[in-house]
Amino acid sequence: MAQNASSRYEMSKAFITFDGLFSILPALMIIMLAFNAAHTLTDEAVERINRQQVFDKLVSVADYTVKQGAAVSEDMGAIAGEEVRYPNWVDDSKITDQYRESLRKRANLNGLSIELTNPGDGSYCIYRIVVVGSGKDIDLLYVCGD
Amino acid sequence: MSAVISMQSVEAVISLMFFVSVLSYMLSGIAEKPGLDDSLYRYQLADDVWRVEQLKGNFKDFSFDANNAMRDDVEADFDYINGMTGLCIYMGGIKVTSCSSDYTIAEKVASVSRAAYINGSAKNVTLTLAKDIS
Repeated sequence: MAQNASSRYEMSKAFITFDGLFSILPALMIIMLAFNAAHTLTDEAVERINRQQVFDKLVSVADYTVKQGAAVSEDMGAIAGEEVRYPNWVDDSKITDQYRESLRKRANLNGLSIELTNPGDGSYCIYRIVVVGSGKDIDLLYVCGD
Repeated sequence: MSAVISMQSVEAVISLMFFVSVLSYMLSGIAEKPGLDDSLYRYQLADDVWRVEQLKGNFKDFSFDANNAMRDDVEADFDYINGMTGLCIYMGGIKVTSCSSDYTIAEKVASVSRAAYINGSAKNVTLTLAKDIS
């Protein structure tokens, strides 16, 4: 009789362990899935922020180049030291390697190219509509970087 | 006993529904992927178009009249820009480029409003860029 009771007790313990096992497994799976989803979400958000930052920097670099850095300028002889700039009229001789490098450093970008032709090398690019040369021919100024 | 089982089943179903709804909410957040905020850049592009025409002096004697020489020059330039960028350009709601998108249905990219001397008087003209869907 006592042996029977003990055997029943052992059986019930086994069932409790089994039951526990089957309830813990789905809970663990749910926790793992939730962690995975959170991880993916975080990665996605970081990537999105990085992309937006690079884009904003390229927009700033392009705007500075078009309006000031590479804009055609004229010295107003009568007013000493005064210079008139023509935004969107680009003097491509001003876009030197040194100019690009200084802007790249200031913008904290890994790479930066400012060209009148599309480099097409797979880096992230934006363009601005400009005129070039004395004939004021319409062209696109590509600003690419990463 | 059967009442206990059915109660457990109800609990399990409720838990599963809760889990599935939370998971789908999280996954929809991943799938959404909002694009870049390029509103400033688009505005700059519209301003570029205006500025380029101003630099070329095409707004000096501009008129919307069909036989106006400046209008022809502006049209030619806008067509050229359309060829390079794929953007339709409208002035004052009138399509100046030869792309086929109509102003009312075109997907607008950006608009700028500038003062220009048109038809002999100073007027505020809206220049709009739109996607060329042709």
